[in-house]
Amino acid sequence: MGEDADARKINHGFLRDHGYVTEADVISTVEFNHTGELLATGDKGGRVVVFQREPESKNAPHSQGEYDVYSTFQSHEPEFDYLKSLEIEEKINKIKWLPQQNAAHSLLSTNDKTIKLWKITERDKRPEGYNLKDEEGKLKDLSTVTSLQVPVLKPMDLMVEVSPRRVFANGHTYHINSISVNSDCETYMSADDLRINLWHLAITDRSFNIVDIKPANMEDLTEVITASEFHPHHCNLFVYSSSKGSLRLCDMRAAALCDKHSKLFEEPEDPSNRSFFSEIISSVSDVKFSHSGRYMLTRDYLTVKVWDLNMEARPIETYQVHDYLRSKLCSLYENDCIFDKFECAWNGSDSVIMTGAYNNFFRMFDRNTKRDVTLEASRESSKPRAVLKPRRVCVGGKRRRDDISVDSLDFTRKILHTAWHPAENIIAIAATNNLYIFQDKVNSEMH
Amino acid sequence: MWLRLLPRGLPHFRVPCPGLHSTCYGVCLFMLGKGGKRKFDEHEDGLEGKILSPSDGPSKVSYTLQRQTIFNISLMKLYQQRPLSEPSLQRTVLINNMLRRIQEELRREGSLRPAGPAPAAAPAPPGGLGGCREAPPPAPGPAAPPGDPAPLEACLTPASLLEDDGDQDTFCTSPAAAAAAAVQPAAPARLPSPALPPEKDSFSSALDEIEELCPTPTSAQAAASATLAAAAAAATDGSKGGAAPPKPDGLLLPEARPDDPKLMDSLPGNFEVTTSTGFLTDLTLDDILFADIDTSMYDFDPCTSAAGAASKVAPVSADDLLKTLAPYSSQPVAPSQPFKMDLTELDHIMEANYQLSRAVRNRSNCSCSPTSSLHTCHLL
Repeated sequence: MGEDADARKINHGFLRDHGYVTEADVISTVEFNHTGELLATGDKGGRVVVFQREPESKNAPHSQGEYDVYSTFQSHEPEFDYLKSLEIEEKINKIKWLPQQNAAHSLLSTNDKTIKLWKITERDKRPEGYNLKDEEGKLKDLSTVTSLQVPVLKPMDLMVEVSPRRVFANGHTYHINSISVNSDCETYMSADDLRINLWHLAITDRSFNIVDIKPANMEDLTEVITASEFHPHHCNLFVYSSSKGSLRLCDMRAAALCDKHSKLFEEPEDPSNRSFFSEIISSVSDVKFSHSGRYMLTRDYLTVKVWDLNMEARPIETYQVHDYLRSKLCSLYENDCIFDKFECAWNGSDSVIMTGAYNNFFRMFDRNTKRDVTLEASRESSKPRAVLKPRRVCVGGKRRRDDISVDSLDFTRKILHTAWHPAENIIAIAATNNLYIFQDKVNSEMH
Repeated sequence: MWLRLLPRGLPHFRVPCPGLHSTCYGVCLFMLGKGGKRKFDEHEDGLEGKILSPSDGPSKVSYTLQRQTIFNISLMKLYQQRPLSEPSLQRTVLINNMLRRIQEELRREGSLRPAGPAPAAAPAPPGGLGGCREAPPPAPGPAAPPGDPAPLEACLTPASLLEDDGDQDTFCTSPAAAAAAAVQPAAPARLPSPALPPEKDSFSSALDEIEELCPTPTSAQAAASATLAAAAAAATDGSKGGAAPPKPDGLLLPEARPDDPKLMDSLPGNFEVTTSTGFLTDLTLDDILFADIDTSMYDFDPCTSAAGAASKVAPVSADDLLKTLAPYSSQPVAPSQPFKMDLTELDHIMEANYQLSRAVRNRSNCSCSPTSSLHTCHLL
């Protein structure tokens, strides 16, 4: 395994060697590809770093494959909108992998305005034995050429090349918050605050607008689109969530413009929990279809909810992520933490759901056993190969040792982006500018 | 059992990343919590420990207090300047919805009160940008001399602010001093020197209107309201030909009933409000002076407003504003007491309104004139 790592030539051009933290290194998205072999992260500086899992060595079956840096490239650059005199951030909002169709890997990465299709290819052979050029590439003196030879391919150090294949620009007036590749592998959609566009992966100069919730009078605007995703199996279905806590399932067969939803998923407000912030905390920050396609997972500020596509009235399951924050909403509103957008994730078998919280905590909920656990992603509390210890937040009352009190939570350390390997129990957690990858040793296989 | 796999090849940084939130609140004496703090303030628990509903009897005041706090926080958030990149539309919309909801509540509470006297001849001023913005901070002291000078000073402060441009103290103290001086004829003289030449004529015409309508107390407030509207119209008249005007906004905010005699009796003694709002007023002055202002937004004449803007405007009695600010007043609140609502507060509401609509309008990529686009950095 060691020699494999050395043999790879990784493009270190964009890696920084700093000992201090820069804003550009804050990880803004994490995504496994469809096999789980590759893990892509995007950061605030517009860079994408792709990790590849080491194949398990036959010699050492105990050591599970670890993730190495596979490729790093600058996906987006900061731009300036001259009309509005505003900067366009280069922060990568979302990365989505395309299903692999040949030896190359492709992914879509997007910032606020522009989506790019990147193709990642490997080169590990090069031709040798040209007739006209010598080994260094200089032209040979023709008088020295006495015979013809056929160039042969010889192995070389692995080189990972990344090239932008498509740039989908000028499709959005507002900030893109999500992209989703369709199961037909030909189209994908991009959603901003008010509109959703459908693109063809090969066509960059036009897109179809399939949802438009912009009101005629912008002063009447009260609701924005917060996330959207295609159904994993039905290429005509997609869902989008709103800032008012509703989900709309739309069928593209019904009309060209899917402003009218096919299904509206909305939970009536709980009158006992009403407060000034009810609307804000009901805003859905992330929506994910289950792998089966039967359920949806949504994250709002305090809860994660599992919805059955067949029932619109209310979610079938609701899990409290950090209900102890309910009495702190005013402070959280004041320091803007209430607008944090947490993501959520399913495991491969749809039996466990995961989401992040504050203080570098993340939570997992087992849907079958109804048990949940709080874990912490930090360098202090987890050495490599150390077992993560469950954490607890105490809200007054009995306090055990190692409990954290609500008032000592660090709200600058938040886990917004998490990803779960599609098949195994491996999770990737982005804690500000650090990437943590955890693996469930005991239950490596799905059960 | 979860183990950690160390991803190799990526340097790890030890120092926590600073500045995850680029929000900064500046000075605000009004807020109970300190802006920008990441951990909870212990003393804030008292305020937000309970989820209050309006029906709680004895805790109604604290509910109102909480509501007012949130209202002010929301205003502060909208005032925040982000010169580099566009603020999140979702955040703006949610804050705006919060403001609207509180406003709705206030209006509903206000509708329980008896209606005021018949409206004056002046057009209803739901609020506008130019004149309203610089309405005077309250004079310290329980009651100004009944009638003329205080309200007129209130109306005329815009000009003084335009002259003094950026002197915050002047904002706070000069109206009070002027109110004490109580010289009515002298006041109009201050008006005709606004910063923008195009506005001068309109201000003069506004002056004329004022002179027609004052000096009696009952009509003084009508004059004040007329000035508010006129000054607003003045600001807009001066710069017609701006971007395609959006419909007058549906963001309804508490506004002074032009016919409410309590409006002009005296100004509240909330000096804290003065300071904070004065600060905020200062921020918006540039926008007023240099921004391309659309006429339609400030055309509050019920006869001419497009899209039934005037019909959307439901003036809220000053009393409910009074009631809202009651917890902050050091003086006991009584229905017969002079109106305590700070006009500056009203202006701020209007300004936030304007800012939001400008932000969304700019965002909607309509035909903004180059002038206005250059100054979008002053906005949200």
